[in-house]
Amino acid sequence: MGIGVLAIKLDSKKTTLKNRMNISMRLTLLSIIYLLSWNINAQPTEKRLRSLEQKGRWTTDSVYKKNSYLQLEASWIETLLNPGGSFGIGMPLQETIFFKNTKDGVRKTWEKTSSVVFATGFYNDPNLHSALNIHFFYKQKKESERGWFTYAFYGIGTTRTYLSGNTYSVSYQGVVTKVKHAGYWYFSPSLSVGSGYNLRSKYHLPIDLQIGIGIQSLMPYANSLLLRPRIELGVCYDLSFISLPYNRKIKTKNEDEK
Amino acid sequence: MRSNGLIAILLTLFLFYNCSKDDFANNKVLDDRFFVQADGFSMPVWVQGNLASGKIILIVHGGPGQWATGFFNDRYADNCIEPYCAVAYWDQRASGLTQSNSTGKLKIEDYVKDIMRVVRVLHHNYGDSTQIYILSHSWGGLITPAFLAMDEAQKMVAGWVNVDGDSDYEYADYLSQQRMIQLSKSHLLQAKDIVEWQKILDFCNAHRSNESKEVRGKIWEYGVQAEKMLDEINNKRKLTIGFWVKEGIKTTGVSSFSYLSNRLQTKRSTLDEDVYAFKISQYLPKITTPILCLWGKHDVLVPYELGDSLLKSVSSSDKQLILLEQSGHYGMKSEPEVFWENVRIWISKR
Repeated sequence: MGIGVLAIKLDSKKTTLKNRMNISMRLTLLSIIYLLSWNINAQPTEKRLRSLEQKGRWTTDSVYKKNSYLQLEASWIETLLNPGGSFGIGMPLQETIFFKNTKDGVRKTWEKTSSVVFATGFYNDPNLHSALNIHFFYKQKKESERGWFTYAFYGIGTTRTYLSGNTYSVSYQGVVTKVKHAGYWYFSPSLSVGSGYNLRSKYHLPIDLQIGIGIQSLMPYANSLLLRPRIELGVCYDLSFISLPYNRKIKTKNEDEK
Repeated sequence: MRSNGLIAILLTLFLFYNCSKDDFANNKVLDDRFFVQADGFSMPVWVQGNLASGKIILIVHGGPGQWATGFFNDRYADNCIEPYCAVAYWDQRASGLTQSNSTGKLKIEDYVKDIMRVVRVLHHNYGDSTQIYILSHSWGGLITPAFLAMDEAQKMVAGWVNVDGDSDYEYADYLSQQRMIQLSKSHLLQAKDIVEWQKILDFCNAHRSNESKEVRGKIWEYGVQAEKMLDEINNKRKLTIGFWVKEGIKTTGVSSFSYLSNRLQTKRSTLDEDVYAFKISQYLPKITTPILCLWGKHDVLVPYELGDSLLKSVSSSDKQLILLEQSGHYGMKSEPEVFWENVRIWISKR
């Protein structure tokens, strides 16, 4: 075994990394298209509404278009003392308001909204890398009358990492060179859940405060994936100067009709 | 007022973050971190300790798939060796904190070449006059002699500390089986842990050590169990899975998930089988580097006879075998002070 075997094929490596980047981006794009098409399919159709009504549980009173504001989403992300952040724009897709008349004559109200969020983010892990993310999220939110809500983010995206330290490669002749912008592209699905409070009704502020836990994964990492659990502190702010139409649906259920 | 409160909370969180961050290297003479990249893997090297000594110990960890950054970098290494010389904690490919998006096959030859790459980068960063000593453990004892046999390699390193090195997996399994038969019989005579030792004895008597992959795996498993039952080994620092996980998390926090991903990759690779086909006997006569074999006297997994045999095969004139009286396969954990003291004395004399 001689030093002759110390061959690092720089050119082929660059090509491979480039290919991988493309694969990662393609996967992200495909997933976005799939999610979008799934959302479009998820819009209420006459047939689906009729089947809901036939069950005799929930009555759909009306479905109509309504304008809503674009939302600005910002989060502080903390992964066991490794900081990060995320910044995005959210667009509501659908809102369903539920009215439930109980046997005691109490009327309960809550609403469920779904929206899509396009976000960019970063984190810094001094042991591994710093990373930039681009994510496309599908957000579901369930909010009570009092303004408390729970939420879930289902995200797909891509992450570019930058190694946290100088990186060197060694050539066939044994020459050491510094690698610029060393890091990797990864396909990066993520999931987070949490709860929060809506300041609109009580304090007349167009803001949601939210806290949650999440997990982000980087693929393919070591032939499988790298998991990154995290805590998120977030703010969601209504951009009142931009509004877009979305579906609003009202559903009612009377418990004594059961 | 409300917004002031919010700002105050955010500021507090920010200050808390900055104050609580554990910069464990505050008191070190040197704390340098860099990566060596090869075949799509970026392998971290943490160099810590007294570089003014002009000596660096490069850790070639065991496994494959264990890690140096969480394994050796504990308070004993901090206190016992780093004040005297620098230590380079290197995680091999598909190990520890090494990053990649590689889906390629893991090959032993590539691990061997990686040692050369790391040694070259260490010389590049800290000067050609810096003396580099390799300290390998277990599986590291298979790839290090292959590295030393490479052209120019022995000019680049000043010595090799071989800790419980598994330089011949097949012979090690045979020795391990013989050791377990011997131990089982003596413990059964003393009526200690009868059920466990009888099970080990029955298995060892029923199989040849090189019979199959399953038998090899079982010999290793029983070897680990046997070491846990031996009173002669200082088992105060219990080497359970929980211990390794705790060590990893303590050192690197959430990055520890990288250990799991990499461990999974090596587990799913064919390395565990390839090691049996990788014969290094051809390389040993080429080795003239000073060697210290530092072995746990009660190592059941890789008994010290293997170290003895290696020393007979190499051409080095400066060679020595030291047995750690209260250790098994992991001397650096069972007797850390004695372990590092022996390393320090040996290196300081060269």
